Amino acid sequence: MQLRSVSRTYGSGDTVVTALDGVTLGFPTGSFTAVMGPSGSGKSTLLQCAAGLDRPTSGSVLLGGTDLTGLSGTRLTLLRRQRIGFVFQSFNLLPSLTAEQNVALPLRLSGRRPAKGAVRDALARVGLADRARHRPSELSGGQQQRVALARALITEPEVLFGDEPTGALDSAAGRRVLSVLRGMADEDGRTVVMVTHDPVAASFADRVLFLADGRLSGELRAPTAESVAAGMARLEAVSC
Amino acid sequence: MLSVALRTLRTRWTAFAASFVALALGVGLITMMGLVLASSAHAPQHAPERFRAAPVVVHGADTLRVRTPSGVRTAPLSPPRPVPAGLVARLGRIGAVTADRSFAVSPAGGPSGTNGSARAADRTGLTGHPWASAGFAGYRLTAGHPPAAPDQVVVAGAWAHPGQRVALRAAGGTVRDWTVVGTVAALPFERAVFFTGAEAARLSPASPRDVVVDAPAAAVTAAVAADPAATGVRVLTGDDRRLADPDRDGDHEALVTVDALLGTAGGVTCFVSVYVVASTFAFSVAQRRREWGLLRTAGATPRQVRRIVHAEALVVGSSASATGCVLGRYGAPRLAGALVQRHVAPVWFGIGGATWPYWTAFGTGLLVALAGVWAAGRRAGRVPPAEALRDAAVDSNAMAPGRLLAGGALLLGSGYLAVSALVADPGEVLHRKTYTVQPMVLVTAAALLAPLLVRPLARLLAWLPAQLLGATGMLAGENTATAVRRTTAVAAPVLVSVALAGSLLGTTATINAAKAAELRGRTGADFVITAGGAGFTPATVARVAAVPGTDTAAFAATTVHTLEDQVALTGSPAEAASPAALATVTRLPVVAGRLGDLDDHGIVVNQEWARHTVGQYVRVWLGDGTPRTLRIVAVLRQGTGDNGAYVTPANARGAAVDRIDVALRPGADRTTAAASLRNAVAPSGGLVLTDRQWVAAQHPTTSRQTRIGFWLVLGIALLYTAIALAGTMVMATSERTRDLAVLRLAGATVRQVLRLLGAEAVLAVTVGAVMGAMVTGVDLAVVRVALALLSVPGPVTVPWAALGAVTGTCAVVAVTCAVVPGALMLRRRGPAPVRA
Ligand SMILES: Nc1ncnc2c1ncn2[C@@H]1O[C@H](COP(=O)(O)OP(=O)(O)O)[C@@H](O)[C@H]1O
Ligand SMILES: [Mg+2]
Repeated sequence: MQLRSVSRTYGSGDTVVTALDGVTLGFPTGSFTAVMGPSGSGKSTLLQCAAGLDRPTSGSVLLGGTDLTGLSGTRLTLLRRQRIGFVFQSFNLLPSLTAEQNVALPLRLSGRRPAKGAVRDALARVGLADRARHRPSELSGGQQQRVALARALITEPEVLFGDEPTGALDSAAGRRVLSVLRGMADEDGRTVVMVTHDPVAASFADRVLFLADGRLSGELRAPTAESVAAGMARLEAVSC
Repeated sequence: MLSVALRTLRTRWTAFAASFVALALGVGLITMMGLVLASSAHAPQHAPERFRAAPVVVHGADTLRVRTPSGVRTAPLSPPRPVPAGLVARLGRIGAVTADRSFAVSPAGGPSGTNGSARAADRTGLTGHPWASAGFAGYRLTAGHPPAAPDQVVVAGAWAHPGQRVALRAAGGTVRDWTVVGTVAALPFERAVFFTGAEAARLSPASPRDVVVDAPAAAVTAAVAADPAATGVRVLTGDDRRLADPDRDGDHEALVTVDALLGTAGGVTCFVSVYVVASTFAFSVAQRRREWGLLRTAGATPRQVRRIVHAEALVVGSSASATGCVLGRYGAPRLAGALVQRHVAPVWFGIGGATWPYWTAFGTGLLVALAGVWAAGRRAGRVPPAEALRDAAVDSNAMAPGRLLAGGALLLGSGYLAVSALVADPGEVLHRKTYTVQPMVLVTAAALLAPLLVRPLARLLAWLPAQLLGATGMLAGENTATAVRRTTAVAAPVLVSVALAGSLLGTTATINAAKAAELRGRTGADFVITAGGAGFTPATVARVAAVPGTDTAAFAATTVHTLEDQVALTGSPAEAASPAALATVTRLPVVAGRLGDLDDHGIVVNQEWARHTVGQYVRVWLGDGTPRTLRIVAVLRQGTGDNGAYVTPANARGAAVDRIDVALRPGADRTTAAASLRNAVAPSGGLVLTDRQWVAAQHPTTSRQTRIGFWLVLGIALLYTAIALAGTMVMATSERTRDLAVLRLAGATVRQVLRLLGAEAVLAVTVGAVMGAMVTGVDLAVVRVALALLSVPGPVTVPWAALGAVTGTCAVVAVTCAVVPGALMLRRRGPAPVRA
């Protein structure tokens, strides 16, 4: 996955906000990348542009040779459905559906019947095999997050995006989610991109990208919690 | 709190628009109907017309007065009595007397003539008078001269000119040619034809009903008082002279109809609008759970939240009610105009200056708005602060205990009403009041209990679509079944509309079909001959009776009054016929006694009468007011009711034969008999119908007014449902930003999301329609059981077309109001995730 000088501005005239300012970067297949940066630095915007949820004001987003910015709304949705998965900090699940139904939703939306046991397997992989018939309101935040992860697993996406997927979780629940993400990159060879504030969470990734004022301001390979924290501190010192 | 409420109102106006429109419309309708009802209660007294230029009018007795322990009860006489000949002679001694007679005249071949009591709007025929009375109404010759010979007439209006020959049938007699010798300018209350006095007396031989006396009123009053035969005769002067005007009875009937029509329509409007407005308000509050949670997080006490809710309702309620009053003010004259135009109200009907309808409607509107949010406000106050942060839970408590209690009580109540009516008096079930009110009780119960049924019904209905590959069926089923509150808000108004349409139209159609079946069973005749307004002359009856190979029974419609429970003077329809003819020609369902025993001292009653044992005596007042005590000789089955009593012609003096039943003797040829019958009635006019044709002609017995009333009611119910649906759908869809965003993130295309919104709307409407159909089924079953208990055959008629149309309209409105805001929202947001 490649981003070429992607810019995104909001508003117009006096109130124009540049959330992304000519970002160029790549997410190699099978890699696990963490994106960090102060609040308002454009992390979410970057993720949404990369995932085809939002359209860049200029620049292009390439997924295996397909330019997402050139696709129509429906084509883009179909492509997302087949090749991209997401997990967000909250608001991932439809409250009216059970865990099982939520997981099967993307398949049913594309008119496919989930293979026998596929839904159970996906739930089992995130450790929720026994909660298949519960609705989101009957699950804890961490469990909901894992259901969302199971839903992202079932379509076998090439790229998985997470916007602070562990933001609302305690450290134990967060670690479970992170190890599933790690597994997706290592065992299934999927590309994983995750926005986070937590140096510990970022240390699960292969590399960390630092973002400030909509621009790429640094990169850290083979991160540890300490090196990430140091990087963050440097960034915040500069921006203050 | 008011300032917070006002600020919320400004930002959330869409949520309030639906409540506002529904309330303003309801208050408007209530104001409008109140104003019309107030005007019919205080109908303006119009000035005398026919006798406006006559000094003193002596008017034959037209009212039956019966003294009872609780006061004098009155009923109109049919036909009214003439002024006794002795009194006319006596009056002649104190001043010049001019007798006026009124009789129906019809152009030959044209519509049959009408009698004096026909309503102004229906008056297509002419009214005959002696020329001498023309001046009292203000007629002046505009051309020619007064009639001087028996074959000369003067006509009002420009439809004939002097010298022209016109063919007329006067007073039910034979068609004759007359020469128009003069014309007068027409007056609005009748189309007059004037004959010479002698010719008028020959055509209409009964003594005159009105006599104009040229003498001081006091002298006339004294003369009338001195005549022992003149009971009930009235001396009219000044404004009272309008009592002798031709429209009086018709106007009164018309106003009673207006009252009944608007009473029913107003009742249903109140019921539907109260229900819809209250639930729209309640839903708008319930929808904003997250907002109440946020307010609570910010430190608002439950009491403050409640106060905000109430303040909002107060602002919306009072402004909508005020708007409604203005709407009603503009609408009322239009409604009155429409009623006049459709010949429901008399021509002079208009809106008076009553103010109580405004206050009543305004107060009702405000009260309903506050009542609607009362429970919702309490619930809003109890929303825990954490609610703002939590995922919306599945609606588990849509069924508040109070609602369950009220719904259960109403359900038991309507069950009790139905069963007790069936046990005590099945005939009661067939009365209009019963079958319009009972469905409303059941509908309310069903609407209150709807949340209980919504989930299982939605699952059941969505089961098959959910088996399909796509996600829409499954999603629509789950969303509809779990969002009980939202689904109920859509389904309940649909339930109300469908159930009202099905019950009102279905019960009338079923009862009509039963009446037709009953009539067919009672008609033993092969032919039925009906007369126009003036009835058949004895000569015509004799000619028909003389047709070979037939037995005939001549019927004259009359009324028999009885005093029920010593307080209520009730008039029952009755037919006068010869006992022998009754026994041979009809197939009346006799349960006791013998029709052949009927004589001038006897009466045949039905089971509806308070007394219905053969051999008992009943005190009655005949149509002309004569009190009699008659012996019950036979009792007929009650059937669908209003089937009337039978007396001999001697007990129906003055009533003209208006129907002749003809039965063929064995061996007689149908075609020949039909031809002979046609010949026999040809000179006097009259319709020869086969028994089938006759029953068919009687079949749509629902009067036009009742039908107009039902359509009015259904129109209002449907309009309300549409408003409620539109409001609910728009509110519900705009609250679902998150759901839709999650769906989009899960990979749903815009088209799929919109299809889902449409499918959910259709499913919720279908849930409501199924519940409505269930209520209809119960109501129709009650009517059918009542008919069975009365041993009346006939099918249950379900108004499928109306049910389909109502459901279809609801579905179109709901789908539109779900998909359009959904599409706008999706376009605005794109697929980006919601920012909390
Ligand atoms: N829909 C929007 N309209 C206007 N400005 C926006 C919108 N979304 C984001 N922004 C602005 O863009 C900038 C980057 O936002 P975001 O990508 O959400 O930051 P982060 O996720 O790093 O906190 C912020 O300044 C934010 O205010
Ligand atoms: Mg963010």
